[in-house]
Amino acid sequence: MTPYPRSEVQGLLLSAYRRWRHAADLFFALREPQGAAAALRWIAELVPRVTFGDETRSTAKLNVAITASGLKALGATEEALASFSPAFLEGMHSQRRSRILGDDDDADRPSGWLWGQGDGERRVDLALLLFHRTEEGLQRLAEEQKQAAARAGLRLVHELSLQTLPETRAEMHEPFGFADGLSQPYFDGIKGADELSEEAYRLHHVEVGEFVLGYKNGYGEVTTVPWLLPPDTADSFGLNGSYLVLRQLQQDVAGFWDHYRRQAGSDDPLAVERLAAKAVGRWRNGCPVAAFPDAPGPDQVEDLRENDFSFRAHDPHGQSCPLGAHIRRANPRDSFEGDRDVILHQINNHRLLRRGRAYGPRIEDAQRFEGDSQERGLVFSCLNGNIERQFEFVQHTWCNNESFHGLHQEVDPLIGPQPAEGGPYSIQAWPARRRLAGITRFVKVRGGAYFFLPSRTGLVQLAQIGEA
Amino acid sequence: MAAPVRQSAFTIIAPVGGDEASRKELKHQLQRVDPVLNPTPELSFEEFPELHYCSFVLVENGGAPYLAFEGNIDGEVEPFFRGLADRKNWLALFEDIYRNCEAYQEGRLAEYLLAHDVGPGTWYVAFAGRSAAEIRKEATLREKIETFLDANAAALAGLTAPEVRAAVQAEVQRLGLEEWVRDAPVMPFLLRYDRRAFGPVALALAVGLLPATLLLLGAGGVLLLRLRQLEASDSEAPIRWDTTRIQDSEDREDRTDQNHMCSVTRIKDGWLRGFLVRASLTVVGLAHRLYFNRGDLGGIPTIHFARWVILPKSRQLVFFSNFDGSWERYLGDFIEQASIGLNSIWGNTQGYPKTRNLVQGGAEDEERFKAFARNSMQRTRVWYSAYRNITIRNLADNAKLREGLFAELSADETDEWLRLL
Repeated sequence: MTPYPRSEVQGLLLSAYRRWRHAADLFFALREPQGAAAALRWIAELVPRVTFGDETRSTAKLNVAITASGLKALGATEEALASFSPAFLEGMHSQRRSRILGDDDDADRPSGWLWGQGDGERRVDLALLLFHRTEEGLQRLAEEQKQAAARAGLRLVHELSLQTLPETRAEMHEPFGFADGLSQPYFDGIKGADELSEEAYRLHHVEVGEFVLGYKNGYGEVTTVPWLLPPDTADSFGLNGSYLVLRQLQQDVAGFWDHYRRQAGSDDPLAVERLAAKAVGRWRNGCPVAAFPDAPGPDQVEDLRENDFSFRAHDPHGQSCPLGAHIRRANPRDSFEGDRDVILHQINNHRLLRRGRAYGPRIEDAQRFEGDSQERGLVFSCLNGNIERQFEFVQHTWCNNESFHGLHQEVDPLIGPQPAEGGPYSIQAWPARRRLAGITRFVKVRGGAYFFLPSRTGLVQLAQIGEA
Repeated sequence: MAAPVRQSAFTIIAPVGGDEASRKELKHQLQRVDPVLNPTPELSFEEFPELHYCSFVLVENGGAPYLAFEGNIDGEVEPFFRGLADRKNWLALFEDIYRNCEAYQEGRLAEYLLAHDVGPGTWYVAFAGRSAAEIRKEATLREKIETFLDANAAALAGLTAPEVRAAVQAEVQRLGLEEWVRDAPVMPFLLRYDRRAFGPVALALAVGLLPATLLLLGAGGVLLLRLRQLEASDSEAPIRWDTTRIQDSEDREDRTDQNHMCSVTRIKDGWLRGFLVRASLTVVGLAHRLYFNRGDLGGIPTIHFARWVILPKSRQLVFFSNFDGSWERYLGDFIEQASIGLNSIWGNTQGYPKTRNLVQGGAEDEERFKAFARNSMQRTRVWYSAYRNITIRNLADNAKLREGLFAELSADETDEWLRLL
């Protein structure tokens, strides 16, 4: 059962487009103020090319997302803008948000980003997300879109070509070499939602309003819906839309593995992987450390059951998967004390629908990679109905929280902001815990912004904003 | 055994002159002692070991402006103020602040503060009887034990749990801390009983005093009918985030592991709302004394000290809280754990999401509730925490670590004790 019209929601909400293996992100700025009319015409012409949830066959997929500055430049009134989420309006670049996201040290500061938000040259108003079945097709599509945008007066701020996805799910790894994007929430109408086992439903099923605006959310309330045209004159702009978070995260792969070799005090690949897996919470093949404490299990990541593990049942005290491991922080499941159903319900008010892809040259065996001068990493991408309660909460209240799960003065070993000399990481064990020192972050933020992903009706309204 | 410490709280409400210039001067003076935005304040509240938390908030919107100064201390309020006024540099600084408030008399700081103290109102303390000094010392004990484990990881690796614990005991003895560790303060009586007994006891009391209970229920029924009429006529405006105000308060947030919140709301018109808010606060206060006295308030495990104060001769309800972690988590916990308590208090104030039968609805309307809470917030001007990186959970674990260190423990208890590290 699909409670929302599939022809209205942009395709990215319902699919990661895995078979559209070639992808690129184009980031544009609008020229103000004379450019608005041409840009609005361009958006009107773009709508028929945009992929919505009812379209499954085409060889190309195109999605479009817009920032608060983009809406403003196109003519949204102050009153209309006030109906959007405060985080979206403020932008990812503000000092306060840098502080909670952990972007406030010298290496990660938004002022040094390749693309972002704010007043500078690198400000992004609009993003086109392109996916294609073939490499030549993607190149053609990107060229076409760049030319059309240029004719409409848009300036290309940054272009990211994403790594071609491998043929099978089992080969998909983020640059450090770990299977990624395994744990996803399900809501009604999304593929697989009606095939969930009872346990998977409990762990991963959430209300539609957590991702698609205008429907009931985890609190049983219909979400607010931002508008562009006065609310009584039309359906609200935001109905069937969602907020999109993009962050370009550069990863130092050689540095990461070198670090864990040193931390392990060993060159034995299994010992090194075991320690890195203790930090990530999964083995490289995706098997959860909570269920496979000593060695990776079989390569079965396709199997949904692999993702239905319970911290409470397998590993209540973190003696297999440490309490502060990345995946335990990013989605604690039933790890916290209390009635299990109540805890799962609370945790699931903070789920993210992830759509990230790696960028930069691919590495075959990350653990043995010796380094080169090329930049690579992950374009973290997630959809959510409430940026503050979902994306920012996970990053701030869980990953960057120094006392998460009763820990003391330590943050997420993978993505948490660490002091210059490195930070501690506790590995619970019997009889007593071990504590690593000098844990360093090998992820650096290179760009990022909060976007809105409008519905079909929303895009049409946006194109007509000048006529209102 | 050491006796538990008695804690106190003060809420000084000092009217501020109407002119813009003196308020500007006041804000400037307050910056001098704010350790949040000013990493090297002129004077540090660290000088007062009895102080847990304190804050200054200048309330300017709606009605006559006033400066609120609230704090949570070990011991009594009066000697604390006398001690403050006896220190020459503190006296000078506080006089620079209070000179901008109405009717301040030079040289009479302690008297002025005492005269303007409206008391703790309905006051929540996570752990009664735990002094700021003990909390900090217990955190230091943990750090010493952690350092010992880190430094001796290789030597400890092959040992059994009791052997590791014995090694830790020996280290603590070597550091000369054993006597202090064993001399943990006794907890006050109300914190020692098994709180599961509370339900049956309350039921027995209600049945035993059956005539009074029936009378109360009858009166309650009449009030409920009137309340439902009021609730039906309450209006609900579209959600509106006051972004300037939000940025003003967020600017200070999340600079440590704890945050401060001051919210000012106005009680709705009519005697019934005034009565209900007071009755609800009384019930919350009682529930805290008798039941929610082990580190959680209605299931919210992150509040160190909080208070609700209804300002005298006004309909202003002021709420102060010192809590762990992010505002977003705090408000989420409110909604998920304590919406009944919240609704019964703030449901009687203007702008709160609509309630049904006082306790239903309300905070469950998440977005409207969060906007209400954000919009009601006042910028904190000065905020001090004596242990800004120690959360409620940390603090409780540190106390258990101390308690179990030299106690007789079974094998399971020994494992559990080691997991505190």
